Amino acid sequence: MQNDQELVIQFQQSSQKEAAFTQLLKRHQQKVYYQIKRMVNDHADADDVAQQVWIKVWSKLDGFKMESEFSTWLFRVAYNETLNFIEKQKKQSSHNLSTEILDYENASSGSDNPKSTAIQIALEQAIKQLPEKQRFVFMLRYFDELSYEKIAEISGTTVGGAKANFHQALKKMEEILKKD
Amino acid sequence: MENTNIQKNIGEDKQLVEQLFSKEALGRFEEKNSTVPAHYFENFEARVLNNIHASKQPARIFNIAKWGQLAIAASFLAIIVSSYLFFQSNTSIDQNQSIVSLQEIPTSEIDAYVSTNEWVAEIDWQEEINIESSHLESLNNHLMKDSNNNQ
Repeated sequence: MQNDQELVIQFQQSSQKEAAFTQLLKRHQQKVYYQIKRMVNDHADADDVAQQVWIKVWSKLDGFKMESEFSTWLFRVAYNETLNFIEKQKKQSSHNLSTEILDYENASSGSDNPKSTAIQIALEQAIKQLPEKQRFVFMLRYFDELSYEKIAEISGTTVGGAKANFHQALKKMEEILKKD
Repeated sequence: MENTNIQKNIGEDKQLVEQLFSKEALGRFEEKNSTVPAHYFENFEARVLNNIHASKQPARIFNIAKWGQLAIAASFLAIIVSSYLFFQSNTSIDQNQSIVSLQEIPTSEIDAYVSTNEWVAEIDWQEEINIESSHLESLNNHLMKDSNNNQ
């Protein structure tokens, strides 16, 4: 089984371009999708962004110089596409935060355990209220269990910056919890 | 060793998060985001490739061989030349026709036409002829003077 680097070379040498791309896509599509979904919350939006990410990968992979791992580069493309999408949504939509929080509450209301529902809502509200970059770093650290080095590469910041983002996110979530 | 340290640090950060929210709530959050429609990932690859192929289709450009380009240029030239010749010949035919027809018309008919058409009759032909002949005379005198001076 070829590793990512070999598949990238195969793609760049134009021999069986599509086959190499398909293998890379199959290998990483779920992680990319979940990374996006955690940020945009909606499946249709996540699907749109994920498709854009892979179309971009197809068009830019020839220029990828392998200065980082393919997966890091891929997540960086996904990170940028997601932030662009959120930015566009913000401009287009008058959908405010309170209605989104209400959506969360409605979505979570089917739970049998009221205590866990309350924590669930609090968590989702707190995550939702984080600035996008902090939210992204928080997700990558907690759910994807990535090192700060990799998070820094993906988000185009320094290791110190990534650490600061994570701890600021924690602090902010704590404040949100105290307020509620 | 380095990997162990990284894992340890990640573990510590995760504990900080779990102190704020329950592990269960975090698990549910992840579970909620991990649910996708049936067969979503199976069809995803085909949809992406379709989109790529759709966006890749280039605009149609006609590639014409050298001889083809020459043939097109020659036919354009032929069209221009033949239309020029056609219009030229048509004009000369018209002129000849008009000269011939004027010569063939008898003077009596022209007189009759002029007398029946008032606007033509109103022109003082004799005066027009006199003006023209005086112009010619002065031009002739002028030329004569010039030739005398040159001699």
